[in-house]
Amino acid sequence: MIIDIHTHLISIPGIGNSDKNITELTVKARTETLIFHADRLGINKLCLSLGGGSLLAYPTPEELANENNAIIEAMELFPERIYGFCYVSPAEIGASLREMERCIEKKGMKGIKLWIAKRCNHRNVDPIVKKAIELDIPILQHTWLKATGNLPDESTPDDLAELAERFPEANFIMAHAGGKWEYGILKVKNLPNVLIDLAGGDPEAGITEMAVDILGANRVVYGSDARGRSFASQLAKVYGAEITNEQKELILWKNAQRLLKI
Amino acid sequence: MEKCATSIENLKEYSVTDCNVFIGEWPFRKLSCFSKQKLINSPEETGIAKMWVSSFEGVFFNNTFQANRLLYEMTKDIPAFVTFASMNPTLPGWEEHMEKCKFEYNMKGIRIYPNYHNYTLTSASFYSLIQKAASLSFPICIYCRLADERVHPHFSKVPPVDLTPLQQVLANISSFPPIVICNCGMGDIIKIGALLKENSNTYIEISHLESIGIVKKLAGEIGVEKILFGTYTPYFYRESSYLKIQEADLNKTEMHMIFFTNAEKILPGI
Repeated sequence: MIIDIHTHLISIPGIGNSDKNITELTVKARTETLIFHADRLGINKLCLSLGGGSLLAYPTPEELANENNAIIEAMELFPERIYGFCYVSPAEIGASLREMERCIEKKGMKGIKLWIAKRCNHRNVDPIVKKAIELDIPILQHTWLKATGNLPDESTPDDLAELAERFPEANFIMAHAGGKWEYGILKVKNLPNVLIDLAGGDPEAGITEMAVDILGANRVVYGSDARGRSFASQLAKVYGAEITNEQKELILWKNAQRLLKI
Repeated sequence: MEKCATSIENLKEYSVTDCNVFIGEWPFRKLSCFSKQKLINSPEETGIAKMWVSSFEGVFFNNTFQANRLLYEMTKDIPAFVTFASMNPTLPGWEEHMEKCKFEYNMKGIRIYPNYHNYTLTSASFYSLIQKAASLSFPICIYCRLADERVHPHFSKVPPVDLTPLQQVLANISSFPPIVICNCGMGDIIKIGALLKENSNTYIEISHLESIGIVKKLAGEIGVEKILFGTYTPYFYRESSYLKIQEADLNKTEMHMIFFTNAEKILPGI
């Protein structure tokens, strides 16, 4: 079994932009493409967020709802394959809380996705985290520490560590292992309520070994950041790692199963 | 849904050539599988029969000639290694050294890292390098990057190579050797899409290509005959490139071309 904790329905560039604009394609078509390629690598379940087709960093309430509606549609079309993560924005607290009630309580999504509308240690995030605790769902938080400079409201591992300390009863997934993963892994070492996902960076040898060594295999989850990333390069971080098969199983599905209560 | 049969266990039937392998020390991290011994053992484990290999020292040493000498010493008795010299055309005497790499060290091609060696694709030194390599029948591997720019150490930020001028530069050369673009993403490839589509002597390797099914997609856009199998071992997990082939909806002929035939066209009989 393989559960991918971190996937999206966003667009893919081509050389001559010969593809149709991704937003012209239906949710069904886009999800089928994702599942087709997931099947080729034996990935059984996809946790999906950001379904609108474009990357909206500062969505309006209507845009938030549209993003999540696409995910709901994907869940309903492929109930055995897709789990939804509700996209929320700390710049739109009211709308985010309403979306959480709608998408999680009513529609059965399994977690929330936070991206770059605000740094995650901003106090605007607190009501969202409290709601996540109430709903007993994990929080997938985008993090990167970029040598090229972060985007204005892009969270770093330090930001997430601060938030996780503020809410020890919440469950966080530090997406991308913090980007600069040697730093990110060490930053959350002593925060048992933070797991890391392996999604999104290059398949740099050593990331998984270090994560298992420092955090323990039960705090590492496989994710891909597909469609932007391939499933392949991200799965390689598990298959290629010099860890035991038992540790690989934890990373590939057991930790996600536990976290998502599925 | 029928799965592609290209799991690692099935790769041996293809006699794979990996066009993007390094040995030596990466300066910012101990790479878990960097050892020469592990690479030598590769064919039994992975089905990789040949590896185009250079050293990381060829990037970072001030004296590239010394790095190539070390590469020669480390690899001379290992038939699975096809050695590529690291070439810095800003270093005095580089032309003579390129000849030494061919005739004394029996190297089969060159790799260049323009942004690590302080020149661009519009530099006179690059133009001269192409001509010299052509005279020695050396294919040229141009490395766009060695690591994601976002994770560079703060004291060593090296931007990626701008491939935009490449088409114009090559248009002014009557005959050039095979050019392989290495460690490139789609953002790089878009800049030379026309070149890749129209010129039969340009290639890309797959180690850094991303998005789902990208190898199949790219094969449809530039032709499967332009695509080489490269893993960027040991910096990357080798499995990444294998799994990209598995993820793509390729037929056996296409896989054979990527794994072997296209590299064989560049270096026949090697």
